[in-house]
Amino acid sequence: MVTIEIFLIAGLILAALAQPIGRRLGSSFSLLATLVPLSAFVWGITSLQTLPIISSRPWVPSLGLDFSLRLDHLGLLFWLLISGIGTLIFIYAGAYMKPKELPRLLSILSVFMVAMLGIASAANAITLFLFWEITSITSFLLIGFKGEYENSRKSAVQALAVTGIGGLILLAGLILLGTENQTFEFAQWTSASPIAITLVAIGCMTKSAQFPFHFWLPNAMAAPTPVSAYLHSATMVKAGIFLLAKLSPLFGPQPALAWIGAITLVWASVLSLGERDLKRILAWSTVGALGLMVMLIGHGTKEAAEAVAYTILAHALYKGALFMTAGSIDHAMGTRDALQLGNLRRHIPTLALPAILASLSLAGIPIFAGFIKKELALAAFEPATGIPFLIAIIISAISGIIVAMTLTHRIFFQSQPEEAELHHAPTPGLWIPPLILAVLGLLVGAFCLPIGEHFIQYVAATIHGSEVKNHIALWHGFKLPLFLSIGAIVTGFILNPFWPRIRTSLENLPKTVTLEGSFRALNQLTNQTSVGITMFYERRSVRDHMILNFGAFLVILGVVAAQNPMTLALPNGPGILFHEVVLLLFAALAAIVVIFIPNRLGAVAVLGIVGVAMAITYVTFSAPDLALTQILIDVLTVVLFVLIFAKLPRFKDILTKNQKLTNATISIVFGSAMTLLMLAVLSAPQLPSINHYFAETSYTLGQGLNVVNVIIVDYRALDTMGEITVLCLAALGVHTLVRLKVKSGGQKQ
Amino acid sequence: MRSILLQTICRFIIPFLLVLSVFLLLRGHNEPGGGFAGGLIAASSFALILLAFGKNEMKVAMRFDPKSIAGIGLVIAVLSGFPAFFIGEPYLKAIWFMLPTPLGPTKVGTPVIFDIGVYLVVIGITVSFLEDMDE
Repeated sequence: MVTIEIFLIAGLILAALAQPIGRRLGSSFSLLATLVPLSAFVWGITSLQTLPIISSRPWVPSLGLDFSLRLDHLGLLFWLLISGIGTLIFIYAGAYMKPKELPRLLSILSVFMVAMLGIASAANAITLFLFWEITSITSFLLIGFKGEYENSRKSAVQALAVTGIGGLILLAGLILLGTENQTFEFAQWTSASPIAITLVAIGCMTKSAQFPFHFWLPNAMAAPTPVSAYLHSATMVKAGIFLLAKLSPLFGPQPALAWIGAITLVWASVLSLGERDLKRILAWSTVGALGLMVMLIGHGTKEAAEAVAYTILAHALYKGALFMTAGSIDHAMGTRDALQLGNLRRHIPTLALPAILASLSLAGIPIFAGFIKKELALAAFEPATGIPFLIAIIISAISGIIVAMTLTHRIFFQSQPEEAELHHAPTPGLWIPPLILAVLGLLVGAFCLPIGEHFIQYVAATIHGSEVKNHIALWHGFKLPLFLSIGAIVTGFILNPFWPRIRTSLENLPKTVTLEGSFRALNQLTNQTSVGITMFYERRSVRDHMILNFGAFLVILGVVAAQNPMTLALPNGPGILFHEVVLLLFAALAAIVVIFIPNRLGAVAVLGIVGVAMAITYVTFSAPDLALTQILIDVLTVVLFVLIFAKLPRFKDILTKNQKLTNATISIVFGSAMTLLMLAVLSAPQLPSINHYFAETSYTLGQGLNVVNVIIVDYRALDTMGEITVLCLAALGVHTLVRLKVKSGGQKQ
Repeated sequence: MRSILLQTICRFIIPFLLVLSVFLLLRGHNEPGGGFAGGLIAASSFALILLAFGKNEMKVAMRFDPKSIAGIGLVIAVLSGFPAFFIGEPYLKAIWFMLPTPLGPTKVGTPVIFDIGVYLVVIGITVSFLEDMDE
């Protein structure tokens, strides 16, 4: 029996092999790579009868956490979309990308596909979250794919910030649900507190670009088109929809969610008319479709569940096709500016058919899937109570007509004053994949196959939580949805000639209205605050810096001392021996002398005496390892100081008397405080010491006689590993700081 | 600027210092020493070269980029924890075995490998500091 994991692993192997193999094979590699999504798709179709498919293995047994997968009808719908559209996208990418960039793109796309298949089949909140975060990261990498452009980098960071913060909120919600129900398995969840629902919903809203987190999606269009078509229309942005739908039997109807969806739907439908870039137009239209789905899930009736299931399918088909077409137009004409494109039917006739078929579906014209989607959505709301929602759907339908007319009539059949010229004709890889999707959109609508209908009903049942048996058909009779549909189509055609004027007025909307400006302002505020804090802490002078640090330490010490009465007593033990007194006197004398030495090198050398005295003290207490290390560190510190001093200006005494007095006060208070602290620690009741354990077992367990070293490399090896990692990072930090020269104008070199 | 006295002494003692550092590294498990102390001794011998001969000579003596040495040391330390997985023990659990050598059977274990990693990291980062400070 083929299990789900095999496809996940196959995808990861593909990702690993994409670079080494893909570089040799060139564009034809994409055809080879399609074997993975294609086999996943075929397996998905054949396993339709055997649902649900369950698989589970222990992950973190100590936490009772399993890596469990369960593919139900809703999951399978996503599975088929991800693998099916993935297959087409891989072919498309082979034709669209430069051969040099293709392996890297396919590598990240494969990881993304694995993560999406994982989300579709996850049965456990933590398993799902793992894949969820992988999609955020791969999305970041793909939006920033052309990292040499500032726009790409900014959009990538923006998308990562929004979906990343959303991911954390989602995690909080999932953990709340997990603790409430004592398990992380979705199937065993029975209750959900309002706060957990809110957190999960916010997480899903960021992922699925819902108002007010919607603005990252149009900017994500900086990614190469195969990515936009795959991640940002057909699959990843629907992950939020998927989770909401999956949990909707648990959450029940959520009116607030329905309203958020409605606001998103209207707002995005309006803004889609204000763009001239084909991909951005489609991106706004995608945000609107996502809003429609959230609205329907929030509504929570059987009819709404069926409409959601159908919308997921229909939207993926036509929007995927439209995105690929827009990318192919860009590829062939060198621009995707709707105002510069015209007469495309003559330049690129092969693209006309996919564009027209998919646009008809988008516009909701009868016999296409988009029409049924709209009918189902309209039928989901009662005319008496759902008027605002019905209006939202109609607005989106009108906007859909205008967008569809722009994508077909305007750019394919009309002439423009400044028209772009044909660069090179599209290869079959650029028009066949969108055509396949567009034709599927027609077939799904025109011949609503019995299996398809049953499948959608099963999906709807998964979303709603109980059986759904509503008939899906093209013809529902002369009812309200039909009249509303006709009204919307007619209004759309009437308004269409005014699109250029609508567009200019919408384009001039201030950025704060679209919330993108607010995000930027928030970003700036964060930067300024952190700069402010850093400037306060990182004083320009070493003296100020030390005063701040020592002062803060003294305050903390004082507060702790005031709350915890301490006894100060000399520890019991053998008295102080003569040679120890001599050593300490040496150290003390050197410490006093160092203050009066008028040059840096001398001061450091004298300070070295303190270090040596300490090292000898260690020897007298039979700690040769410490002594050795202390001396070596001291030597190297002096060497480093010498190297630095060579670059400093001659030493000058510039402190005033008062400043010196402050220095002295702080030094004396700090030194005394440390002494008192040591005494307090030594006289405090001792915890049972672990030293004896180490000393006794160092040879029997650690195979070594040097206890210190056995602790470092065996008992506490993980700590040591952390320390040497920090050391390496510190070396890198010093390196960059020293090499980074800031010019007077603030420009970095 | 260069002192002939220092240079002459360096020529004599640096080989000994380097041998001493390896000696300290290897005997560290039973007597004072270990990767940290050994690494510091090796690093101080490079510091001596820097002071006596200059930066270029230190680079020649190092042969490799100090940061690469530190990185390799870190990788060695990380990898030394993996053999434990093969006998079903947690990460970094020590494994010891006797290795026949010309000098007689010698006890070898993953902590020694770990210590070699620490040794390399300490050399690498200290020399890297020295190099940066001498910019």
